[in-house]
Amino acid sequence: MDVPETRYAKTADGVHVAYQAVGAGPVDLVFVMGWTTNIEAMWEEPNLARFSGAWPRSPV
Amino acid sequence: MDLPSTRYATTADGVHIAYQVAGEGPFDLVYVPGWISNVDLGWDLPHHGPFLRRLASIARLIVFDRRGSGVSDRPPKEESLALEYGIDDIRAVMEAAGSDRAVIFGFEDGGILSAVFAASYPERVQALVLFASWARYHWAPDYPWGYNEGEITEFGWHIEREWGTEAFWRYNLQAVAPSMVENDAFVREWTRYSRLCASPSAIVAIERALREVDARAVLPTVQVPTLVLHREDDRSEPVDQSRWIAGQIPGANLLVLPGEEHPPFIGDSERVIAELERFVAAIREEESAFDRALVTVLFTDIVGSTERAVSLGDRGWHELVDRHNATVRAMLARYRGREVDTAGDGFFATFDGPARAIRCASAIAEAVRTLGIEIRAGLHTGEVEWRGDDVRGIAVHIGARVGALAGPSEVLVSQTVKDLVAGSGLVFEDAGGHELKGVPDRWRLYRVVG
Repeated sequence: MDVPETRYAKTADGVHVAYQAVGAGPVDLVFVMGWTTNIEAMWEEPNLARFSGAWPRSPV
Repeated sequence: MDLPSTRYATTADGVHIAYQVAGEGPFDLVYVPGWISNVDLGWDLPHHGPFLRRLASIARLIVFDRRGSGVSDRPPKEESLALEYGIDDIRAVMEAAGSDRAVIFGFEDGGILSAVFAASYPERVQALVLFASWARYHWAPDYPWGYNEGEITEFGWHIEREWGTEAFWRYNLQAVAPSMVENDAFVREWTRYSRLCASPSAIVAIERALREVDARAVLPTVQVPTLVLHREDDRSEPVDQSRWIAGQIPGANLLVLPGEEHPPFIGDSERVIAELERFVAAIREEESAFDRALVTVLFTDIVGSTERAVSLGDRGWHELVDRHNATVRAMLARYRGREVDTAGDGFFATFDGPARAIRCASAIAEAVRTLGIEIRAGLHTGEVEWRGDDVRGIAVHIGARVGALAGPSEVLVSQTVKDLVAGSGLVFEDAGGHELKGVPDRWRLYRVVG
């Protein structure tokens, strides 16, 4: 699977939040990760990548 | 090459600066990046990674992310992104990396930062290399290469709307590296890299800080050897800026390289490495010459010391040697000699005047006779290299060999010394031609007779 494209959402208080959407399943699934994350680099970590990539349509 | 490990240095204002050290070359090289970087990913980036590896092959390379970018801290107050705070990033990183003195290579605004650092801490900068730098962001009547309001607004629009997308880099690379605009893989990699260098608000803050930069007044105060490099057809920053900068820094060398690529790592990067290496080699050669000086070396030792030591016993002999040493030191002080080394009962001293050195040797020979001992003394004048308090060079070997050939109470000098003191009133007698062990040629020596 290709690494999904990173985009930015902007919160009400003006913070840019980076996100990716991947997959095409029947439900949307938002994966809220633990205390430290990096959505660019996590796809290089095999366990995390396998876990995230197995989901239906998961914005992370 | 294994990827170097990332560590943090802490600045005086408490900002953590991520840095790495790679390579084991003969000099320290600090690479000061342009507006954004990421030390953890820079090694994998096309063109950029190979360039860093080449730098690490010629030097002990120190790379870091400037405050606000990459894996370094975003300073809590946006004001502390200002250039003057950035010089403390370099200072903190050099200290943490154990580098007292380094060649500083700065790219674009990293070049300005490097120049300000060099002006502030000249003792820490062996040489300064500026690549495609500029000195002021805004256009001014006396700085026509700066950006005008329209250009600044346009660039700001692209940053705010397009940061983190390939669209931004397709726009930016047209000026920065035209050969890369159609290179999809490069654009993709570079886009991802830029996201990992700075978030959207972080890049806005970085760019806002750059707008304030005007380092023109600092340039004439740079006192370190400086090489200014710029590619002739750079469309992002016109080469005339570097021509002007090189004119402002006293004694700076300007070298305009062929090509249109703005970054050193795109295009003919080997040429950049070659010019950097050539410049640093010349500086190092020049510096080693600073430590060379013409001196007269004097070697003395006690004649028949073994026999005297046996007949006097340990205690008596040590007392005698102590008195001899005190006498020699008194004479060195009187004739302004500099003691370099004492080995057993021998002395090695240097003088800046050969006639004084001869008079000192004769005075020592005379003075120690009252102790019931005799010394032999040899002198030679030549160029030596100072390493701290140590002296090296062929002249030292020659002086030692001449001393070893002298007889009791005899002061022998080389032809060089005799020629230099012509007219001093000193009188010599030919002591014949000699082979000096380990030194080529035959050497004519002279005995001092008055």
